[in-house]
Amino acid sequence: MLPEVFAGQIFGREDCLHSGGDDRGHLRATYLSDLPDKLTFLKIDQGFSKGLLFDQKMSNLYYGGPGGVLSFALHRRAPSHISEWHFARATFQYSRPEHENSLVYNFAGGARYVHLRRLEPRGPFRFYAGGQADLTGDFRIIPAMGNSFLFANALGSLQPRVDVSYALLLFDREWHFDYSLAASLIGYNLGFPEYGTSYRIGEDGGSTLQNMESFLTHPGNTAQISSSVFYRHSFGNEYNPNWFRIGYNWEYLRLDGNHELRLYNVRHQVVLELYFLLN
Amino acid sequence: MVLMAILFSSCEKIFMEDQAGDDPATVFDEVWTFADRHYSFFEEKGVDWDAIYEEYHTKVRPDMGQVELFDLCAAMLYELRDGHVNLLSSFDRSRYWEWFLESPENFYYSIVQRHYMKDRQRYIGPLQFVRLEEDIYYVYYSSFANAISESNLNMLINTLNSAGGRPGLIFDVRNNGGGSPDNARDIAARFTGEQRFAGTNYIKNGPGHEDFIAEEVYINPHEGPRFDGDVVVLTNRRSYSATTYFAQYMKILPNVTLVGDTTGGGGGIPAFRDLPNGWMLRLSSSRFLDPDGNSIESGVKPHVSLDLSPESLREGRDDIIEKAIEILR
Repeated sequence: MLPEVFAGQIFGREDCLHSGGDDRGHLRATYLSDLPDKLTFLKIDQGFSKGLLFDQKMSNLYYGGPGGVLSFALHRRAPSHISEWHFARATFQYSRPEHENSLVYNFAGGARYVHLRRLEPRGPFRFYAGGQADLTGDFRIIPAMGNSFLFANALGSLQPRVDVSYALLLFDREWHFDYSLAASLIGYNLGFPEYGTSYRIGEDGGSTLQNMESFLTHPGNTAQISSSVFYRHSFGNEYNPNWFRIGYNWEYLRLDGNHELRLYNVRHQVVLELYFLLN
Repeated sequence: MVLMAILFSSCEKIFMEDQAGDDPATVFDEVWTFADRHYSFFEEKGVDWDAIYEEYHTKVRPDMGQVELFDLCAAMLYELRDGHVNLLSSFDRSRYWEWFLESPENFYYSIVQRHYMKDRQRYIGPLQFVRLEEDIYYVYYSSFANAISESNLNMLINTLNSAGGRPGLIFDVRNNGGGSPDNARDIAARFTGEQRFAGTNYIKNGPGHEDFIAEEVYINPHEGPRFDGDVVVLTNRRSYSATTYFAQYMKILPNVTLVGDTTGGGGGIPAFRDLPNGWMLRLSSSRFLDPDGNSIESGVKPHVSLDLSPESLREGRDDIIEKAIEILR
């Protein structure tokens, strides 16, 4: 989710947003994209999650539990567009209450490139449309499953995306909200293990993980949706326009592997994002 | 934000699969279906799994208790006659042990300890090592689950190679119930100077009973210290799983003789499944054929088949060790 509206007066200028002469006519805000310069920010995300996992290679059961997310991004803003290189890692610990041995350790990491074009503004709203390319690796370890202890996926997808920002003046101050929605258009999934057992007797007679060749020859499709809403607040000054956002992010993932073995993963995340100007 | 979280939490199930229930019929079907799709020995053992479903599923009742359901599923799984098939719950573990219960014991540790090692053995990691007589050495390895290090094996091999004369080694893996195939491979690699074809591993890669991918398995010589003298490997029916692999790896080496009873088998690497009611199911999901195309699931036959005689037992003698000594002399 990329912010559009910036708090007024930080850059010593104001744009007035009149929305048809109603009682919101007093809204005012400064838009970063109106600035002539290109700005680059370091973005740091951290948050807590509640996840739900269903992987038919493991079982026909849902595993739930808490997790943490930490990510870094280079966030670039220009008058005409926004782009972002995003690197994230997440750790989850899922379980099933009725089976104490069913702990699932989930580690995920990935990179994302976002590119959004600015559209015509309407009243207090600012719109961006574009897309993102996503590449994610996901490892799930279940110690109790012995020779079937490791499951992994590598995912690639292209997702159209829209962002909307809204500035509201209430109680004599500005409140900025951002909304983002992305859904996959094209997705590709590489799943591991090939079928049900991640360990086997290898070519040299020892135990080994199934090799990358079988990993690569068994792709499937993916479906991804992410939707988030953030409250944004500036804490910088005229020379250093830093800001933070706090909000809620929902991510949905469906993978269709070979032999119709499906995986679903849903994450509800409360995220704090910090933006620090680099140039 | 709160509204959005509530909205997505309540609506997301629309996009997701229903979870399996934990009623007896669903649990039973999960057990049967996982076996149907992942078990690797239906054809080899001539098991008609569909017929078994017809026989057992009629006995499932909605009101049956956990223990009754467990016993029913365990009885169905018993039809697979496989020591690697277990249903695991908090109150029991189903099992198939006929592969050793119906065979002679052929190993008594107390006899080995009292009459052969006599408290003279050296513990090299998990190995008990003793010199029985001039040029004849004995090693007992009780479990392939006990990790054996490179330095353990270096010590063993260097001791043999520096013994002078032409030493022979008895490697006893009787009652060794298995563990890590890595240990089996690492030990076998110490007794060959060239790459040897050990067999072909077939791994389940689809739901059909004969959906497998094949991979040839070789034993490659270790680059460090190796022993090229004569070796006798001792096996019995309780030499199971990774120990059966070890017996197969050693059997293909020209300087190795297997003596004792056919190993217990366990030639399939297990796959696991978490069941809806918290139980776990384990079953074989691969199979291994030796270079002649014979499955090792029912065991690796020794070159010299031999049981312990009651007379020898009364005298505290281990006929299988005695035979090994005779071969090495």
